Amino acid sequence: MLTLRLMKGIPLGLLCISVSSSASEVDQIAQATNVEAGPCAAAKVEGRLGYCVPALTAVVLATTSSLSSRTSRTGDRFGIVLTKAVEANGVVVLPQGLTGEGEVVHAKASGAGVGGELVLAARHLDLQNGRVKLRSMKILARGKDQIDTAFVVAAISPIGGLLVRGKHIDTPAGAIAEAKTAEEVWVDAK
Amino acid sequence: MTKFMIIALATALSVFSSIGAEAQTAKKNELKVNTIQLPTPPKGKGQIVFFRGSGGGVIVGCSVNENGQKVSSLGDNKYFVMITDPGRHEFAVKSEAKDVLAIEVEPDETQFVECRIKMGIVIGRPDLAPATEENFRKKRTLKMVDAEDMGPGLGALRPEDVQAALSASAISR
Repeated sequence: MLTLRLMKGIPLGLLCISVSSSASEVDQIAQATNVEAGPCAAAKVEGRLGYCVPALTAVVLATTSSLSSRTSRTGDRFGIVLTKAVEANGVVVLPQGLTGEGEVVHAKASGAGVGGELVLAARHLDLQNGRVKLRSMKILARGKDQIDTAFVVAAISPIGGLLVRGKHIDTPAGAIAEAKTAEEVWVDAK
Repeated sequence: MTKFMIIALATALSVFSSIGAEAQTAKKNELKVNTIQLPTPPKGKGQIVFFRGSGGGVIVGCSVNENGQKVSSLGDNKYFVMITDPGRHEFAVKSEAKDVLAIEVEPDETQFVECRIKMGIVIGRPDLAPATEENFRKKRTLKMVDAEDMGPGLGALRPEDVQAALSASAISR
């Protein structure tokens, strides 16, 4: 569950107290501040107290289940957890322990000489009232190839070359990955 | 006095030789990676660098296709750069058997895909695998695919497009 620690001296840029709420005003503010109209601009116009987590904020995640090119299938979903709180000016805006979901974009078992393949993507972290969409997850795994060995064996015995397998790739539960927020998110203060 | 001079000479020699060895190691490390300049993708677009090292079935082709349309051939020791829309993409290579790799292209980012030639029954089979920039840089002698080997569509950047993109990113810096 998301909890926010309010602290003294929070910059005005983070806590917004203006009151009014039309779409055109959101656009005007967005133009004036040179940002696209998004949830943060809307929240500011509505005068909500809270914090803006900008797009492309770096997050550190861990997988909650083990994944393997031997057993995972393209399209499988897996759990992720935020391992390091995201703070803005000393205030925790995305607490450690937030859970979410990732997806196996591509999985292939090892073959004759070539290692297994896993392409994983982080999809989102769950907030109490919404989601933080994620992108750019950096766990891209490839098992060790044995191509040279396979060709050498094939030179001696053609069938033997086909029997030389590359290594599978195994990602244990708790594997650490980096990702980024895909879009800005407004987190209401409590 | 003579003893002292011998010790001093030996020390100086060992220092010089270690400096020489360090310089040689640095030079070796420098040569271990390629220094190919890659353009940055246009804003909001993604970029994929496909590459293939040398060895493992030189005569086997690796023709990269997407949605049944050729993006580019990838010969031995070659690479090409593709600009595309963000999202999921599936690329295929085909010889005796078809191999498909799905990757997720992110806006404003560059991804890498390697074509390897694995063992086949009659002939080697091309295989696409996710890769990293480190994998790409380790292939020291890569050259860009010739324009005539690229597909008819907009997929792979022609050498002149890469040059223009590099100039544009140099100006914007």
